[in-house]
Amino acid sequence: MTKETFSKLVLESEQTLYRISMSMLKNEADCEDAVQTAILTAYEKLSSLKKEEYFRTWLVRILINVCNKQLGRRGKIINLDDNEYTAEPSVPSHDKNVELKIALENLPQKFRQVIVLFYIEGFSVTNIKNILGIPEGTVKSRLSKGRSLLKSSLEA
Amino acid sequence: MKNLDKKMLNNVYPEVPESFHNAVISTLDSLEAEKPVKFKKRRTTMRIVAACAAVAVIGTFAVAAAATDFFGLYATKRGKYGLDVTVENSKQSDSDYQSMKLKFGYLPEEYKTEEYESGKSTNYLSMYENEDNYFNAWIDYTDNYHDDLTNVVKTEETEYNGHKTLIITFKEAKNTDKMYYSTLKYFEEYNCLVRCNGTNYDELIKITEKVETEPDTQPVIPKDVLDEDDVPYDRAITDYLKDGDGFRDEYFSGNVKKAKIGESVDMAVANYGQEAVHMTAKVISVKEQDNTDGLDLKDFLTLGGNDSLYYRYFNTDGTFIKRDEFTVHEDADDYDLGTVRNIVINKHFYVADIELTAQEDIDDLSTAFETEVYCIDVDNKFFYGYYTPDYEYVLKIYGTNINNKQSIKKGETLNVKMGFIADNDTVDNAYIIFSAVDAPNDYYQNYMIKFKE
Repeated sequence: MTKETFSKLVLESEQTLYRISMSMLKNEADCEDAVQTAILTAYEKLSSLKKEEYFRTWLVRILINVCNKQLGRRGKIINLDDNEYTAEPSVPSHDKNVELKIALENLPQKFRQVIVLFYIEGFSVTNIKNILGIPEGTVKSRLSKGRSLLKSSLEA
Repeated sequence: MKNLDKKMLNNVYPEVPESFHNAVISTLDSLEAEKPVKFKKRRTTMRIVAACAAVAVIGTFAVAAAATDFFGLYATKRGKYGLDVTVENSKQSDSDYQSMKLKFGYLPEEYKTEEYESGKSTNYLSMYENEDNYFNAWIDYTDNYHDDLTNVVKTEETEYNGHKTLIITFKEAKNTDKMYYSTLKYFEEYNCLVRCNGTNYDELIKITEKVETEPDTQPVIPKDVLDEDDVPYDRAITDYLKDGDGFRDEYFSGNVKKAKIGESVDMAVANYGQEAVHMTAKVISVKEQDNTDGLDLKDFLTLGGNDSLYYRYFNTDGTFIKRDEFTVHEDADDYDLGTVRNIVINKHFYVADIELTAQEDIDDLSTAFETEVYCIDVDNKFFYGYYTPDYEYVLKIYGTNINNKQSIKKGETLNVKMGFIADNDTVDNAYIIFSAVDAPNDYYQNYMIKFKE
């Protein structure tokens, strides 16, 4: 794969990279750091990608690993003041988008991650299994649980 | 909430901001141009055992579009033992697939299963007695269909009732005489293949001759819901293990907390949307058992969500099968059938008694607390217990029976049991891991308890 093709594929995945990193790291500066590291890592490990059509899944997995490391370095306790998404919406509470955003952001990460990957990014259960390195049954149970938690939150 | 509103979810995160886009562009610009990387072609064998074949496999490999005036099912030899199978549909498929079901004009009695008889499984069938006697069949949808096969020693092309059919003979390995067979019968009018696999050639041919497919009464399957194939990229196990979840990060940074059997550990858990509350967790004992005494069989959970793995490890009377023999296949490619070898693993079944005591009321313990098992070997590689076709490390076979919405009041104690299977090589280095999450703060705590001192 040439640098040009690699760049083209990265740019095609840009929205996905932004949404996934933001769902995990929750602030722009950390997302920019993470995506830069992920791109460099992916380019370095390009030989490990066996088929070009799996590029997006493969790149997402690298990004998630980078984000996890960043979370680890952050000490895992997120200061809510740093969080761009606060618990108190600044728009009327009947705005469904904001309610859903808050509900999603308040999910435990392991549920939020699979919800974002499945419903927003459109990855299949099998893809998610490979991205996160967890069994398929775990993906499904986390999706089920995540949906249930979102529903409870939005109905409250 | 079966149908989350995708449009709403898409609007949760705003468009890519300029600063993010600039960060991407600047990183791409900084990359040094290198020689194009040649992709390794993926090799698969078509040898499917029942545990893996119980779900309909949908082949969705993209195929390089070749200029062709022909439509149909094609087999192209590759090397000495390789075979490429492709389908070029004669009509454009619609955005959605019509669900199809199998219709067997002939099926030996011993191949029929309860699910098949009851009509529950309409698009696959799986009968497995042992490695020398199995049969399975399913439907593959053929849009952009392509599969690479290895260990192919003979290919026959024929036609049954006007449907092109491939009959493929596989040899298991160069150091064995075992053969197995597959047929692919192409139903062009429905853009699907019926795939049959088995160990008895004559029965397979009889079944294939008479098998048909017809539209199912179920709703059509949207294309984007079909599972894609596995991402086939290669990673060294050590690379894989150094990435991943919070426990691994803690372990490799030397910060993982250790505890002993009998020791209470304090953990903060959080109900959804609430402040963290505290509980203590303790492993009371870990005992080796030869059977499932004291365990409620209906609570046995397996990784596949069904109890088929239970019967792999336990006899019907509940006694544990301590010795397992596996056939491992190695090194097959286009010019080599590879070899098989038998390995014997001696296994142990352990049951851990775990006590959880709430310091405050907890509404739903199941969302915030998990137990897992890991094995850590001397090179600091470790494995999350999960089943692979060839061998297992530490396998959690019995859940912690914490049900959904399990609440626990302040001062109450919940006793749970957890069963796991470890083989001789791993048992000395296996750990129970307690993981608790404080949801609003995304704070994870992990403790590891060595269960064989």
